[in-house]
Amino acid sequence: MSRWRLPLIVLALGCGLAAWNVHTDESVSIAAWLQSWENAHPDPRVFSESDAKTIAGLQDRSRREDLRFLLISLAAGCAIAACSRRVVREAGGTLRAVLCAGALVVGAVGVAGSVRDQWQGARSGEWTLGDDALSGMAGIYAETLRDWRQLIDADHAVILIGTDSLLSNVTAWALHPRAIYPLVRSVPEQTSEDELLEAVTLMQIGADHEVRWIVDLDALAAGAAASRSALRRVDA
Amino acid sequence: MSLLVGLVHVLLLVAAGWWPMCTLAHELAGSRWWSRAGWALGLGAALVGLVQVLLSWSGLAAHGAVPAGLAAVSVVASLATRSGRPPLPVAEPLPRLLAALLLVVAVVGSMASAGLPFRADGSKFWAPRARTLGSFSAGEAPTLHDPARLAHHREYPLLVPVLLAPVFASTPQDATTGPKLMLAALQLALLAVLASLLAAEGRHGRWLLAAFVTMPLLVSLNVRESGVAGGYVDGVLALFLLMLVVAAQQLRLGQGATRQVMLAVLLGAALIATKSEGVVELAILAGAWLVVGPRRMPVWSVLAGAAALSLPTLLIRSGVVPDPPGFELGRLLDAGVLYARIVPVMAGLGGQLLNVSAFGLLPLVLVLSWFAGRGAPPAASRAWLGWMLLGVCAFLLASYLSTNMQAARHIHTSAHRLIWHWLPAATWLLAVAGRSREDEAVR
Repeated sequence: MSRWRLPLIVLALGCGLAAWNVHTDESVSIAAWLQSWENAHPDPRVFSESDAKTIAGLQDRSRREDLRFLLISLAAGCAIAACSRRVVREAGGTLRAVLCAGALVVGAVGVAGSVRDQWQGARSGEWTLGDDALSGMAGIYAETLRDWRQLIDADHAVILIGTDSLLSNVTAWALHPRAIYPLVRSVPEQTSEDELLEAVTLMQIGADHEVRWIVDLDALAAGAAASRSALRRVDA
Repeated sequence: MSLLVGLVHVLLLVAAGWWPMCTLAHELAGSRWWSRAGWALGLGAALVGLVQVLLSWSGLAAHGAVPAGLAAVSVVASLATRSGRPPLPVAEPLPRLLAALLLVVAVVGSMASAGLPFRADGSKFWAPRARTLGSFSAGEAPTLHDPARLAHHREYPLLVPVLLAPVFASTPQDATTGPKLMLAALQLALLAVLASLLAAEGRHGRWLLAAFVTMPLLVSLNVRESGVAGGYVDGVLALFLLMLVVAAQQLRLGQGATRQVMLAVLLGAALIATKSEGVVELAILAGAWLVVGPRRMPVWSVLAGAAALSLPTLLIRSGVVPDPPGFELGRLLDAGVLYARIVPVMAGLGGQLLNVSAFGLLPLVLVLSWFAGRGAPPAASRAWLGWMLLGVCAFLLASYLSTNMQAARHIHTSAHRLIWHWLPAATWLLAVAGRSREDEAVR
């Protein structure tokens, strides 16, 4: 055991320093060799430039999180294994002690993060054991959505137009059991309400329902500043 | 109100699964009350879910009378057959620190799951499907038959939504705590079953248990498709797969043949009815079993029985308008596509070993356990696990090489949840292999 103590301490310090280094970065990019491979051999299913940037950003951030977490846990695991003979003995080896002690640190961080997020969620209304999840889910839109339930009968169809997936999901949830037809496309800002209505009227989407409504997610998100109504009846 | 409804339905599932647990998995469940409750909940979910799917296929909406009726039958049968069951040895208590860790993870994970509303696919696919199946049969449910409607998706799960449907039906419109409590309870069942199994595998098993319960995926609100944030069916698949592997291991070693075949049939059918990925997972498990043995005959009985029990699911699925294909198998023969994708796909899948945000250090601990056993006489469980892992790798490689999505993005959004399905079973099999080596060393 004693012959491992010094290397473990050095490793703990090294991992700690590397973790700090990663912590100060906003993201960790893909390895250079892999990036050059991807550039030389692009995937047959290519994204638009903006989509590719969004996905790459997501992946870089999650890579950073993983690396930071890994280095912190290894630093802690090495430090614990260096300081406690008992942990090494109980674990049945130095390497197993490093990994298990590191895993416990990851677990503690995970639990603490979850408790913190739940506490914040409880304060903002998103976390609740009560019967009103909509207020937490929809926030400022909850009352509007509740009002719409009074206007739209249960057998009417609702066409959701827009690309805001969060708002789309919440609206669909709130308007159940009405038939929801999503149209995932952005509506140019200069499009007037009548032009939008005309375009949707020509579509057959949800046409087997006697009455159809349009929910314009961009207008719902814009609130009072919107140039179009967020809810509009299609069929008279 | 919703929380209470959810709690009642969880208890009904436990009651419905109690007699099957006592009859089919009495020794496997052990003497700990929480382990028996976990097995009962898992089996209750499988049984009630399959019956609800059968009724849904035959034209009835999912109804709370089904779990209530099955629970009543199960309780009466349990009481009637109580005296015939052999007494079980008292299980060794868990070390205090480990027990405390389990308890903390169980409480924090359940609170996170029950207290947060449905998100993403949960709010647009899951909940609408569950709510619809509480009012319509599978033959009439608009979300299954109108492709333009939100929540239409043939590959989306069936068994869990029919379990949630009666809870939604008796819950206020804007409430989610009841249905979410049921999902949290199924995750608790997974923890209970695995904890009891690993605790019986000596020191190595207890260390693996400690590494398992520290996975951020069990508690974190920020891991996509985790047990508490969106991946509502994945924990259930992991539970069924673990229980199935345990039952199959008994069969492979020639113990309790008829009862274990029935147990494996029930769990195999539940796996198929939960999600189409379950079909592949059952095939991988059976294929590895056929390769490794030692007793191969029960495989065919299990597969035939599972296929028969899941027939309603397969018929429902065959009647649903298919979505655009997610995979193009021709790509596996296209050298250009393979050349472009093979390196990023391998790197992406290998990177899952370091997906610490989701799995903590468990994958590294498992790899270490695997290599620590190299050179020792191969335990039956280790060889079986090896072939299953080969099958899983082949499935993942084929899926991501032939995907219609951009491969790196597809891996980012789904690889971790597909791997999660196998983690409990793999952890247990490695613990069993470790125990075998310890026994060998003692001899």
